[in-house]
Amino acid sequence: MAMTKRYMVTMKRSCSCSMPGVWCAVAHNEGAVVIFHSPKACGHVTRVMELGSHYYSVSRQRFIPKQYTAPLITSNLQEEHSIFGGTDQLRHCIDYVVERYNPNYIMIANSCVAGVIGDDTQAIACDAERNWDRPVMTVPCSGFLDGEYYAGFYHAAKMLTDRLMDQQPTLANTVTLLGDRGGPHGADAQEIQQLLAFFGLRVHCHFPGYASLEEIRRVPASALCIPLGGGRSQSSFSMQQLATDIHVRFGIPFLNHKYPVGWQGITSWIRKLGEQLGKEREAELAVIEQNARLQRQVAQCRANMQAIKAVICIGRPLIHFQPEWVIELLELAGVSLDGIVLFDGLTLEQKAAMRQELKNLTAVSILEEDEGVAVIEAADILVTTHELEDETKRQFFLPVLPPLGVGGMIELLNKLSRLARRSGRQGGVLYGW
Amino acid sequence: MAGKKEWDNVCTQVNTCALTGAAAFFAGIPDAAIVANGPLWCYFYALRYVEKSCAGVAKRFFGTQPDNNAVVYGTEECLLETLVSIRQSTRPSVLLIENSCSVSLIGDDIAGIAAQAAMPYPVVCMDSGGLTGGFWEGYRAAAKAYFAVMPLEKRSIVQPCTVNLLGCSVSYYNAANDLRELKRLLELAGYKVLACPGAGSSTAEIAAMTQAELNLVIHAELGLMLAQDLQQQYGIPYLSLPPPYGLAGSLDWLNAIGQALPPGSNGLQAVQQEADKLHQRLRTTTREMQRLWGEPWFERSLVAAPSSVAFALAQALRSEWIATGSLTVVLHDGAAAYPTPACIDSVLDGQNDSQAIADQLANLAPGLLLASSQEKALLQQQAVTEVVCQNISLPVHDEIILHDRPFMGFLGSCHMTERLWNQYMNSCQWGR
Repeated sequence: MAMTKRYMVTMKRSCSCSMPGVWCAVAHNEGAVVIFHSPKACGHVTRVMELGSHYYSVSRQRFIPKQYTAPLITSNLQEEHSIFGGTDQLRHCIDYVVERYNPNYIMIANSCVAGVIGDDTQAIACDAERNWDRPVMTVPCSGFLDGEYYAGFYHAAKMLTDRLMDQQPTLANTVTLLGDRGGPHGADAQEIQQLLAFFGLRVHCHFPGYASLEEIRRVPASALCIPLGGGRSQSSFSMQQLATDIHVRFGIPFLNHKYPVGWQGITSWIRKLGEQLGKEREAELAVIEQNARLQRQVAQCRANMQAIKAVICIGRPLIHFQPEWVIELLELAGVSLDGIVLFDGLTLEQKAAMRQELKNLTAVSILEEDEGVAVIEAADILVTTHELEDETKRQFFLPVLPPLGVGGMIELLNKLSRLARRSGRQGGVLYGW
Repeated sequence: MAGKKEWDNVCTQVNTCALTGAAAFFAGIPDAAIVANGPLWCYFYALRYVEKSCAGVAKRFFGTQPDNNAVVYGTEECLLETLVSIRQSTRPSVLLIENSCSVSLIGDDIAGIAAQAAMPYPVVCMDSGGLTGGFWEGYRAAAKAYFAVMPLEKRSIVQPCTVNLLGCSVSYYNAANDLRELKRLLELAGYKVLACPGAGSSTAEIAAMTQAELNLVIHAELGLMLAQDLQQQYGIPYLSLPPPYGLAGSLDWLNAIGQALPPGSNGLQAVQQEADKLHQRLRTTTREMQRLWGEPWFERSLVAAPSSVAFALAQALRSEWIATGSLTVVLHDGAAAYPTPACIDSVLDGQNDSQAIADQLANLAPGLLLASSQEKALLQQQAVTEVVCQNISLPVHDEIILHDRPFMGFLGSCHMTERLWNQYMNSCQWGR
């Protein structure tokens, strides 16, 4: 029997667009203007996405008013440009943007339309830069072609690195955080800063987002770069790549390690950092303190989770979902894991890769969707990558990017605990972000 | 430099993609299915947008996920794969296949591919990406394409005192409740509503809409062009009026319809009686509160919404609901099909006047904002306080509506008065 899931789509091909990635990389960088070489609608779609992030931060009391937001201009490609090309349109658009906003720099993102037409955006950007005597940059991605969200994000950051940074004398004990993860006021950045404090390190730059020109130029003075991303996802690859680029260009070391997600991940991250800095004692102290912080929460959580039977339901391929931290979290919470169900939305190859990964982590039965109906029926809680339409079941919806550090684990444990205390009859979904 | 305004900052604008607008029209036909022949990102965006006001549409809205190769070699493979899957799993009365912008450039013979898939029902094919415009352009184009493929019954029978409602969409804020109130008012006045294409009517109901005496355009930016086409093609006359907000505004609306299509029996009398009763109730209640709280007064008010909503609601706001100093209206869709009401002090083009809109918002306090979560977010970003906010249009991220109370019509007038008064009293107590 097939179960009805919300938004269950087999991810066979690209699943996002590079343009919002470019936008997010520089949207709050003072003096920046972003041009989408695209139909106007692409700008609107990105703006609506940004609006969701705005209310997300408002709801968590993390919103900071009066932050700079770059103007987002679209070149307004229309049907006629598919015949005659859109380069003149883009050229005029850049001229207008410089006259109207006098930006420090312009970042151009290309749409799939521009990609199909074959506009040479790079050449237009070079001409405009000569004419207007300021950086006009573009990325080698076209909408969903040639890369997705994180490709846009990475290439925008790479461009800022290549064009705006110069070698600087190193400032001792300074760190640049690479990536976004909710910005400098987000929970993840706060969590990382707390961990860095154990080693006497302070964050002096966030890059590429929320950085003024002055801050961007300060990045090469960092003593260390720390990429923020998540698991084996594209965000992880792209930020590791950015850290490598900065290392090659300026010789700044970076922490080349899996992210501090889950307790094993956190301890391993802390120890790796300690080893890299030659501060193993500080690392052990950090592990002890973080463990104490975690155990206080675990004790409370276990009390609420006793006798709770859970099933993990997976519909995301391995690149978008790493089960290791989830299985660990459920063990910590004292939950009885009664089975793992692989949803039919996964392809055969994706299922095989996931099975292999799961077998290395647990002896719990791994079931196909049609085999899993009974175990799902009997479970108290579903820990799932996709919502089931049947909301009589209590469901814990897993985030694509798990929150970092012990703070992130505590947040998830609290949510699991709240879900367990929710009346079984109430059912419903609790989102893990 | 041609038309500098075309490069306005989209951060102050409200719009979406034609792909979404076209999907919204077909989503409003319960026995229609939709295929977005485009990237997963564009498909999901359109789905999530439409789904907010059309629960369950995901079961009949599909995407093809073309990749780089498809852009070179065509989308036939992924489209056929999707069509075969739809044929096996659903049985709609009509299927829309809409191309995203980049896919539309490839020049695939979508109708030919659909024929190859032997879909056992009519298929409507169209290009509907951002190259063709935003939400409103997509909706209008989809409506036109639907009627081109799905012919109506011959207009041999015309039922007296019957109307169709054109230009309604499930993707307008609180639309389902508004539509219910419109039907209630029209029935009270002695009319019967036969069909609302794109807003709840099935293909069978739409096919029989030629039996109506009159097409009533509710939102001109969505339905006026369709009304003109249907008049030309089927001889159905139409009437395009600003939608009914406020008690007096709703009475005016019904009277205007009555002049074009006199209702039977004592319809308008019944309507007048209900209006009088509600007016009495409103006056008694608000006067009582006025003794304590004084008259709600806003130095500046800004109304931002699709043009039909913005104009008509701004008129009711000033003439019936509250007292305000300056009144500015922002038309999300850029321009209106109606003349500007005299009570509005200034009108801004929501697609081209970004700086003026930003300035108006920055200087709104102490004031009133009737708009979407987009304008409210701009206020928050500028740290503008002392503004009473009320959502009247999408996108909305900071309010849920679970009740069935409309914004339009008599009941809508009571509802809006109640909301505005309660917001005003709250702001007096807790600050804005």
